[in-house]
Amino acid sequence: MKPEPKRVKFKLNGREIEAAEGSLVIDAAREQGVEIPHYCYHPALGNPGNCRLCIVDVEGAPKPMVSCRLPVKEGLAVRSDTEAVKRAQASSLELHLINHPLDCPVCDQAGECGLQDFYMKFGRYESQMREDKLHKRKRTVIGPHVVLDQERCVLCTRCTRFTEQVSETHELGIFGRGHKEYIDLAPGKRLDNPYSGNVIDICPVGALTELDFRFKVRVWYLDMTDSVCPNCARGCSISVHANTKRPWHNDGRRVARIKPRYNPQVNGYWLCDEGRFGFKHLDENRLGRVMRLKSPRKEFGWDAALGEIAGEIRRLSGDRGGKGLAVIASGALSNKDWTAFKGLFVDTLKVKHFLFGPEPDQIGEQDELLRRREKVPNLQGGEALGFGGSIKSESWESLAREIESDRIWGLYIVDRDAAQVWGERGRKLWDRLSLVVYQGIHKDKSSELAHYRLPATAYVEEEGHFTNFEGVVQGYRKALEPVGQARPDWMIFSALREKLAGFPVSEAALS
Amino acid sequence: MKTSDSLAVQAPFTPEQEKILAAWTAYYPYPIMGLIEALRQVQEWHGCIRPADEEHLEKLFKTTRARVHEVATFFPYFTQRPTGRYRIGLCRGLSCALAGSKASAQCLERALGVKEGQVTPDGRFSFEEMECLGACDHAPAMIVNEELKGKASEENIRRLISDPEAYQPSLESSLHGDDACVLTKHFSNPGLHQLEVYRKLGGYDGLKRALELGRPALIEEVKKSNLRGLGGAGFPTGGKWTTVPPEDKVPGPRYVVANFDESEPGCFKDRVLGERAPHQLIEGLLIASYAIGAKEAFIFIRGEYRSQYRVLQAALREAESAGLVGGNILGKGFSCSVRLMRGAGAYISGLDTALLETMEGKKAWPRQPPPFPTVSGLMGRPTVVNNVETLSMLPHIAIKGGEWFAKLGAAKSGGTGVYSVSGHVERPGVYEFPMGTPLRRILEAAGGVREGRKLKAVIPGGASTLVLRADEIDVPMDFDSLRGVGSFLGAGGVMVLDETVNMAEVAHNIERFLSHESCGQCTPCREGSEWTVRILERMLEGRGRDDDAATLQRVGENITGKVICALGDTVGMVTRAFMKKFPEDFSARKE
Repeated sequence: MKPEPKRVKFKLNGREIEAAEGSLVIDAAREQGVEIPHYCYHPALGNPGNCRLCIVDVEGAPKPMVSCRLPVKEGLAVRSDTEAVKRAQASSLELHLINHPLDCPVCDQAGECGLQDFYMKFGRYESQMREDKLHKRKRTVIGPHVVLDQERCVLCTRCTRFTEQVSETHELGIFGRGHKEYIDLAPGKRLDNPYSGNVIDICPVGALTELDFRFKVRVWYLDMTDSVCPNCARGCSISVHANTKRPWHNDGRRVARIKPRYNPQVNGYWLCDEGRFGFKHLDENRLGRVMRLKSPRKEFGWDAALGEIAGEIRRLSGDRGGKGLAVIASGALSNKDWTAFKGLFVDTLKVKHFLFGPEPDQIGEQDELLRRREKVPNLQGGEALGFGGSIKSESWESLAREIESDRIWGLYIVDRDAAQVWGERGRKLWDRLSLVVYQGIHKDKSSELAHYRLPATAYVEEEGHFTNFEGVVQGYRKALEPVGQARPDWMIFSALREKLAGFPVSEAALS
Repeated sequence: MKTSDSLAVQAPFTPEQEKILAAWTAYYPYPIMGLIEALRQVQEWHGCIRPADEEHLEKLFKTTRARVHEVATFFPYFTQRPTGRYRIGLCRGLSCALAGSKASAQCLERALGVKEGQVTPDGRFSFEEMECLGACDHAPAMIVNEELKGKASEENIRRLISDPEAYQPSLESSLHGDDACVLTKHFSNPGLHQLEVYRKLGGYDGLKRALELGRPALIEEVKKSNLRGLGGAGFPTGGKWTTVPPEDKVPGPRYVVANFDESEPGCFKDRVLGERAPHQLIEGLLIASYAIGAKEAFIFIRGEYRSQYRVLQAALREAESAGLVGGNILGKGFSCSVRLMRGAGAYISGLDTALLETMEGKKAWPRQPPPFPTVSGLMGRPTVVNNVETLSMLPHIAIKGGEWFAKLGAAKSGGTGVYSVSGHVERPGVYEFPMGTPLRRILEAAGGVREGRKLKAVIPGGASTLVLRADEIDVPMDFDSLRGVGSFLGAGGVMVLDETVNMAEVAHNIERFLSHESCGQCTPCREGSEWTVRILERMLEGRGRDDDAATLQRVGENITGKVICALGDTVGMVTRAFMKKFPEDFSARKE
């Protein structure tokens, strides 16, 4: 543990305040609710002090100083509210804007632009610029996700520093010199590192915008909901930006974009591209109806469907309980889902065959920054209840062999495409099974081959908790209404368990 | 088969060339420090830096493509398109502009049949206007492939173009040096650059004396001498040295860098000091290194001083073989190496922290102290950066003592100053006078205003120092007196302006220089300098507006004091100073 930094007193705008010794005045001011405008400073990317916007007066100093490079010390007296400082801020903004195209109406950054915001708060000058503006290169696609507009750039170097220090890929640089300098890709490079989307967030202006999100919906129409990224075991804190008020925008998709949410414990300020852009198919091929797919095909209400499934389980198992039933779980279950899952399949049905471990279909790339190899958010939540400890996971291969040797009569699949994994072999396996239940979010091969199909809610349609690979438990909130009849997994497990209440499982049958 | 200059042809380097480039990764204490020299080498071979060249250097120096491309596009010496085999540079700095560089440019364009910035169809010549070449005593100056070719008169241009190899003009500078002088005393001796001659005149005795004194006593003498940084900042040299943390607190290497990147319009004294007395500089550099415990020293010289670079190379070889540079110098147990590095055409590299960035193979973006270079400088090591003239003073202080030196000069500025005098004077050249000598006396020594014209103004210390009116030239030339009249001593680049000069044009010339040399790091300087230039340009074209003066004033105020480095501060001061002292030149320019 690092020792707590000493707290010292210093004066800000005449008010005595306390802050950690050596912390930056710009941060200490923000803690006190005093906003000091800035572009180049970013807590995770350092303080080059090049935008000169955060200038403050310091008692006893011969000239104003930038507060992003000014450490707090006992007795320091700083003012960000003098006429001189206000003039300096306004003039600095003016200099940022003299060659800026002022194309706000057609700029996707409008509404969340540092130039707009600071002009209204700290600018309000009348422009004296009479000369023609300098021109640079407009909208260029520089990678799979990012569009660059050099004319809007204020050359704060945040993005170049990100690629140099954080993603360590250094695709972006500031080339040329003086007023002719420009931000661009290094020759022969593309901005295609696994974290490329972060430059969109840290760009304080409209120079770097998101290729897919551009012009889909104006940002002021979006609703933001705190959430947790479900795309790997890191569980980055995110904010879901949903377009619900004006469904005719954003090509009809409800989620417009995902942004990282600062969490020093988990992801800092960042989010990987897999997480950021992984929501695109959320509304496609959704399962919305509770259905029996084997003939006679039928749409159900929940109660009738679960009653029928419970009856099938009773009929097929006799008094052996879940002994011949195999359950495949996804690892995307919330903690509450896992509890209900365990109640149903372990406590009531005493199921012996589970598959939940991160098999190859859930394994991807891992790196030092954020990405974890397990591409599901909550294996840890299952582990806390014994899944992976006392309860072992089958592999796809071992489970297939169990089915082939007729020790399994039924399969309960929770949001995982077993048929896809098993491929050709799957069809033969399916023929040996008397009951296949598919509970999940999207239509896939397994959902089509199942006997019963139960629609579950996506994480944005429910609330819950994920426990990440380091044991950090984070809650996510509901951003959208469920699709059709979809219900949270825990609710389905609990309701089915109720239907199976008093289900007799003879100890003899289990041994 | 003959290959063309086309960019599409990307012949790899020959094995010999690859060896030469690879050698630069091993020459300096850190491989990346060789990047600038390697790029210079490639520019020389190919006439430009091609994409394949950057790719090669990226791998060779184990760096990123962005970094290589940043450097290759920052420094004007590097080009992305081929230059002519003879790359002609014409100075457009103030003194050269006063001497008619505009007419020279037209003459060059006519003679070559191409416009500025272009290459002749046969690929032999290209012509560029450049910022100050440090040859204001040869105004309007031109260079070919970084070699000074003197005055760009119509006759000289004709001779140059008809036979560029054979054209070797005489490059004598006017010199003032008498017995009262310190640095230029022996400049009349044509062999001074040779070790043998230098030693006969007492050369390297200062180093010997310094080594005998020991470090604390040596630093004490330099403090007593009131020697101040003669590159322009005027910071007490001894004081700077004492801010280097002692070896027991910060172990490991520490460095001294001689700043030979003289690029300020109006300044060329380092050029003359370096070419006439290279050993005086090397000796001073060794003394400074000894004082702070450095075992490695560097001389960073601007690329356009190519012949001075050769002089230094030869002097270093002599000194090395005489045991004056290297291990166990003069048998006294002190070891120090000296290595050279060349710049690539950026004025800002002359600012200490930007110089260190350049040396580290980066674009020359100034750092923002703290920490100061003496604490964290070259590659994060304690580093002293001293100007050529400052270092050259040290042997004399070591021999004759700090007190003697202090007494030579003014109250808080010890010794002498070497002034570069140019512009509208009879005898432009280098003049050494004791600190505190009235500016009028220096002008008289240079023969006064040319052709008996009336003096209008003097810029006392180089283009970034503020203008003085003709009635202000009794000011003593030392750091504090000039501050007293609202200007700076700077690097002693005295530029004389006679009655024919319009001050709006001068302001425009200097602001254009500053804007061209603005590194682009901080917003007020990057944007404000260009804006200032464009307003002045419009005024000079006769399209002025009523509020122009007010806007210039306000923009200037909004830059100075709010930027990262001294160049930026200057951007905001220059025009305001001219407007204050010569308001009549800034009116009556409306449409």
